[in-house]
Amino acid sequence: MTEARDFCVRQFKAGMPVLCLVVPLALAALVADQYGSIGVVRSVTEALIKIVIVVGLYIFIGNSGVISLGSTAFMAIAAYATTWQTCCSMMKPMVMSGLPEFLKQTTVPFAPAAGIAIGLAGLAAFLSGFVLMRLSGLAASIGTLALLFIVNVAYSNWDSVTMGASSVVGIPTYVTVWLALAAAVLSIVVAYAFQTSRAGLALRATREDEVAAQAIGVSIYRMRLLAFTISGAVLGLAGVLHAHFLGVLSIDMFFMQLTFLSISMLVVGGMGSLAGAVVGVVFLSIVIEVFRTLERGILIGDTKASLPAGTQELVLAAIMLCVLIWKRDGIMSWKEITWPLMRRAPASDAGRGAEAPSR
Amino acid sequence: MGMQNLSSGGDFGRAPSRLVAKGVTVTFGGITALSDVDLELEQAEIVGLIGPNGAGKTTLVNVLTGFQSPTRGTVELDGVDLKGDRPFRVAARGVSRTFQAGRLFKRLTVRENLEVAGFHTGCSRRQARESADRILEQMNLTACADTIAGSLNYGHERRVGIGRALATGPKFVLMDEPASGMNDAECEELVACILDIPGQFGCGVLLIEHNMTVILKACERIQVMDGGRRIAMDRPDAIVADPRVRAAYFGTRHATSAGGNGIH
Amino acid sequence: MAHILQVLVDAVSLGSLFALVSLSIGLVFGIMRLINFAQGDFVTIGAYSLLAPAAGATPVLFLGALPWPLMLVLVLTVVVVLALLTERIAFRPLRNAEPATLLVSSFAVSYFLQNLVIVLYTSRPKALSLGAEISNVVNVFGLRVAGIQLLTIGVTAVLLVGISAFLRFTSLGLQMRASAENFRMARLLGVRANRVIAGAFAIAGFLGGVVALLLTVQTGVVDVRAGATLVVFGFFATVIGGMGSLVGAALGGFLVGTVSAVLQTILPADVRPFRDAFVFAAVILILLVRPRGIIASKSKERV
Repeated sequence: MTEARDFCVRQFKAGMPVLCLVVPLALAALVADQYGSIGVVRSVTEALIKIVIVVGLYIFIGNSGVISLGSTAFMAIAAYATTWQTCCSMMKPMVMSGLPEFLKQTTVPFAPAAGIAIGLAGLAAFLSGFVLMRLSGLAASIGTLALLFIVNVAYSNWDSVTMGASSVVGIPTYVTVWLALAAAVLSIVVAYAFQTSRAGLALRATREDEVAAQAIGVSIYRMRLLAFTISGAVLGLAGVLHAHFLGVLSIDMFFMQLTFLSISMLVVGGMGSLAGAVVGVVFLSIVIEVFRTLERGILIGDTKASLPAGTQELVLAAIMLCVLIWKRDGIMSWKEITWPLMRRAPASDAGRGAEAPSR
Repeated sequence: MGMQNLSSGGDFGRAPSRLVAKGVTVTFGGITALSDVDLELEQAEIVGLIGPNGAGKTTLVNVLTGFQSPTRGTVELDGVDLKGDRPFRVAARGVSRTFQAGRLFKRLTVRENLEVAGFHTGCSRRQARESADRILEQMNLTACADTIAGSLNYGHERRVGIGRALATGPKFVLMDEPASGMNDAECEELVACILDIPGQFGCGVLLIEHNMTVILKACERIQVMDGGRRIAMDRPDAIVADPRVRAAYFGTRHATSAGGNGIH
Repeated sequence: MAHILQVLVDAVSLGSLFALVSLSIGLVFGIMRLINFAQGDFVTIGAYSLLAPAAGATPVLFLGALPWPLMLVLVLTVVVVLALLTERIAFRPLRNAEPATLLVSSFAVSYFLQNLVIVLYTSRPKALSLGAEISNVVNVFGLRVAGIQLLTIGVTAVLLVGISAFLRFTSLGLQMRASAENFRMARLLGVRANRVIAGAFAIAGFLGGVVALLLTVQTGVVDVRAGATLVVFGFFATVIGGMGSLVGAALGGFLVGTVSAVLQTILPADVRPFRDAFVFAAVILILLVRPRGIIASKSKERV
């Protein structure tokens, strides 16, 4: 009997870093849904989708130490894939004449369409990783950036299939704050499961010292490829959410702007831990919201005070720099969040806390 | 395979493994780092590898572990040619090593450093963790199992490095100057640890060292290198008396002078 | 035959611009391991300093109104000062930080500068006719070459020679080369970090200003996005040329420019919009074959 209880307690403790992230997010969603205006709900949903993006990036970048600059390409691939399946049955044959016949005629229900899109993103990540993970750290980063550019150029010019540089409109918007929350929770769980697995630990070993990792039997290539693929799939999920949240799609949404923002959120929060990824999103999202509001103008007495357009970005950049100067490794600096006592255990501890293992 | 060795203290039913390097030559640019070098290691032996700086000892270890491909020559483990194998594959086959610079995974705990080493065998994370704990106990390192490797003191760092190499369940462990920077007491501990390895872990040891006390106490045979070549291979007492070895360390003028323990 | 030469001139001209950009990036990266995304914004601000801050579509000249020698000196000064300021304020506090932190900080600086331009000038590209006479087509050996292309090639050649001489023969230059190869060792040998880094940024700023002027004359437009494109291409060029090798960086720039110009000509018309994709795919291929770049840097990790 006590064995079962011990087991439950141990599992609970092991899962603590996940709970410490998921519970506050769920609360935020609840509060926004119950008491927040439509604007607030939208902002929270947006932030939750960003969490999926940044956690997806973290799965690869945080564990391998290799900065993938091109992962937003997988978001684009999934976003267009789900759009091709679910959108605009009337218009499709005309504006996307290049699509294969069966796609032009059919509309796939949301869930399978999302599944296929995510699978496609994962496959794309696997295939590109197959090639790119052979490169060393810096060269791999450049390679992923080149990949992003290739996808961008290809999709921008493939007018008959993607409508080129113009936006696709009329995508069904079925993403609610709860769906976004579920996706965020899923991505956090996947990320945690990966980092506490053998592959995750082996990958982190390669991040610490590539030579030593090889000397103990770890194949750097295989570990990186695995993480890159999983990361690609999670980013695919983010892409699907993105498309079905905004209802609008254009290839430039998944290019330098988003790449810069998401990588910054990861590094500012702390790319060494899952908590860092989430905290980075929350922190910078709040900053962005505050300045967005200030730019719109707040009422002080009778007058409307507002900041000139564009200051939001300036302040954001300045704040990011300041945080990095203050905390080089990001806000969370390689640590996860656990309970009790809000003691932050090191990211490598797999949530077991500092207790000795049972014999 | 490797995991059995850790608990049964070596499986002597089978014929012992052999690691054989023949005619290994390594040249880069215009420099010849190794020239026609041979080496034989048997499982459960402790062999020393000594020589002045620049003799090619680390290069030889790099060749044996796959980090350097030889320009000529072969390396065979139980008759299987290791040529062209990447380092991680050589490690998986059973040849592991430590590094002069330690090279621990600094942000991981000591236990995790050893855990990762067990993964190539395909065991579960829990099994790897248990095996890591066993090794830590055998090496008296249990107290720092949960310490972050980057915060260890120098002596512990070296021992964890050895533990990690042993955690791969290897047939052969190649140690690159494990005693450097250690005081006499620590050297004694190191010697005791090394002498235990064939019995407790069932693997052979190649020990590169400059510290002659450690070498003479721990090794059954010693191979001497100089200028990229093997100049002697014999029992410790013969090596100490060998004039060629003296010449390599002190220069030809002192080749015939008496007094054996001056070599550090 | 004449057509091939024409393409060659286009290639070398484009390659020259990229070479200047990739040299700046390579210089800073070699010493600080920092990929300076803000290099593109040095170019942008250099170009925008010709105009006075204004929201309208018609540009109001600022430095652009001055006689050209004075304009030249002032624009270059503005960009060099800007480069030194960004180093002092944003990058010095982060020296020796992890590559990811440096990368994001460089992103942040770039983002800041870009948006500063947008706040002051709006994001609309502005037409600016500068040195119209130089843009005229010149007849050289039967080839019709735009004067600006000749100028670009000429200026680049002079600058490359000048910078090589500086790096070869001056004390600071030697220190910078040593730092670009192995910064830690150089510092241990007494090289003053601040001086070397400031020097690198000053050169980067100088080259950025030159590129800004050449680009403005060539395209006749001042656009906040042009810098970003340049820095990406320049960045790829540096990597395939060989990080840590300054010759490699310049070479990489020429290579990228050449490949780009050649593809523009030989690709069939319907594939041409995808030209850039081929350039990027070529980058990946080169990296696969020569991961350290075409001119591999000599420092190999010791095992």
